Amino acid sequence: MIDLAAFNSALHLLGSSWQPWLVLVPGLLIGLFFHAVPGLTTSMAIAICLPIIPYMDFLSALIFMTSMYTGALFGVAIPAVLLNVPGSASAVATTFDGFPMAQAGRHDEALGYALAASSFGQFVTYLLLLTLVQPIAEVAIKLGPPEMLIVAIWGLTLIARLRGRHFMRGLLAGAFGLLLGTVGLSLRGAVRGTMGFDVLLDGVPIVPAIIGLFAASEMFNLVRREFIVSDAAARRVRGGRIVRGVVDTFRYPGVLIRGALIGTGIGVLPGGHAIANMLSYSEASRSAEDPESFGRGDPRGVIAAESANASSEGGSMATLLALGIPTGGATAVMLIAFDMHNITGGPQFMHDHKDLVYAVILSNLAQVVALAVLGFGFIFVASSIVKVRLRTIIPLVLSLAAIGSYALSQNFAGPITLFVFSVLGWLMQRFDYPVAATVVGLLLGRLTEGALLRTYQMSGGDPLFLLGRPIALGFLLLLFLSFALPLWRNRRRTIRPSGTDPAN
Amino acid sequence: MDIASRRITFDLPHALLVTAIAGWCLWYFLDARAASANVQNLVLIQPLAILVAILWITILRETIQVEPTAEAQEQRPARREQLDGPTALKVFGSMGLLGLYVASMSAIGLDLATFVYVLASLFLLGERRLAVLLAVPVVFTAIVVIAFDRLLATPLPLLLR
Repeated sequence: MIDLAAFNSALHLLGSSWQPWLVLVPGLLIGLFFHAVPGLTTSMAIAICLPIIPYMDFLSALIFMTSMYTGALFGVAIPAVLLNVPGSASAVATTFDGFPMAQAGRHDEALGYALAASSFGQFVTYLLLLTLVQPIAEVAIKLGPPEMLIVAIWGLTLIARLRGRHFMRGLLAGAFGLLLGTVGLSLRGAVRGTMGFDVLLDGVPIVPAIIGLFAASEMFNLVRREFIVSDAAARRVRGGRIVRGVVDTFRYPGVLIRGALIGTGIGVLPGGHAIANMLSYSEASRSAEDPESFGRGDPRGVIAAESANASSEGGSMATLLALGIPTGGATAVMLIAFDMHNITGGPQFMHDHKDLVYAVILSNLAQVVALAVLGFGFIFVASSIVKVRLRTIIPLVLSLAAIGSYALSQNFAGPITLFVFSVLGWLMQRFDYPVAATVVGLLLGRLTEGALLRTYQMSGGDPLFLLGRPIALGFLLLLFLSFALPLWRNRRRTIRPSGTDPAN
Repeated sequence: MDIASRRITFDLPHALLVTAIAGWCLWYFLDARAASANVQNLVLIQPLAILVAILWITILRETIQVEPTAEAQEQRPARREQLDGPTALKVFGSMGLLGLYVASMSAIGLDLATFVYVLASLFLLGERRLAVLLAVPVVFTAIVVIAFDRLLATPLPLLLR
């Protein structure tokens, strides 16, 4: 299952230099810190750190970003447990039992459960990835332009669908992103949509645009939120009780392993990270003998949510590495690190650079150990971090984003792009358009156009050409289903007279 | 507007946003078409432009709602959060300050612009403690300038050099 030559070369990569290890701890701490402040997100943390990526070699950059991701996945549990504020969709289920535990004075145990489940979930998912890289790479390399095209569009529609209520708005956001991603010189040398600005010939400056859409726009939303931190955060933390939480976690191996498997499986899908924790939680309460104890401070709820949340990282890394397609905000930003190092993610990368992929996985296994130690210490400082005032953080994050954009582009096109996209992102969020769909579209614009063009050339414009490509047909069916199901569901809802449906 | 027993509401801000997005997409299609009408140039853009046009009309229809005036009004789904005066000031003020910051960087130098921007933003967002208002911008500007300019050797346009 494991390509031993590549595996040995990965060990050599990690063992021959201290540089890849140097970024691990700062990455984890940034991730932990960012998510411990309610309102800040993983994609925001990674986006703001993008300007320093070109100063690292590619492996260090990947390790730095995955460490942030790893840290954030546990960090998100801290405000969820202490304040009942899920920092992102991936921690919603953690609040269900985490906060009732905190209300009952068992907050340090709850954080212990969360830490152990989070570390365990990530360990399992990366072990799975380690054994599956070889077969995944072999399947992925067989995908040609038509398959990649359909996968890209399918991924985009899944992300567009995340905010279920407004599928049309999601589609528009995705299409808008794809079009933005093709601005500049075309494959044939035609100049499109530059409005006469030479800086746009290479396309919209992608990093400032993404920092604007993800990080800066969210800051404008946060100005109105003053999280009320009363006695909840002031609670004393006792090390002994955290340890008890950590140890007791392993009394529920079934919940832990099921959570890790659900997280890995669902994490592979675009948008999956947001769903994994809910699915695992409901699965745990459904199969429990005493489901009524869930929601009242049952540790199994915290464990189920956290192990699935953490293990979704492995799933989404598999999709990113094998297909070059991001499954959400955090992996979308990571894809830019590929770009910055002139590396195209996707099947060819996975096939040719298995040693790098193994090195990232091995480093993630090490990150889990570091997380267990750092996370433990971090719980003690966390209760003071949740009290940091957002009004102090907002100007600093925005200024850092603007300076970072300047440093990257070495001209003012960077900060101007940041500003334009931050306002646009705020407006889109306000009217319920999924910003993530625009970002993923922006990233996949060129890939999609290239794949579509090659498909067109291969087929000579004949759609029957797809009949000879069973994988493409299978993907097409999935694409069709993800389009048709929400439309069908919407229709059923509108046809049904209101009042007869108990859900209304 | 009330017609018979029904109320017609029109969500103008949303209609403007969706029209702006769709308008850009359609302009982009025309611009690309003017550059080259070859299929290789429009293979993705043209189908997307058609999709955007359809979505635009569909979403625009959603912005006009016809509802019975009486009790059904109360059962309306929760609308987006309204911006009250002070919040609107903070949100749009933050945007304006970021715009000014970006625009003034080249004229007054990134260090001075950063200092003024952070100070003004803190004040706008409600910080009134003098020590914080002075210490945070000074320390932050110093750290950022040293980190980018010296450590990462990224030349920044600075006033003090």
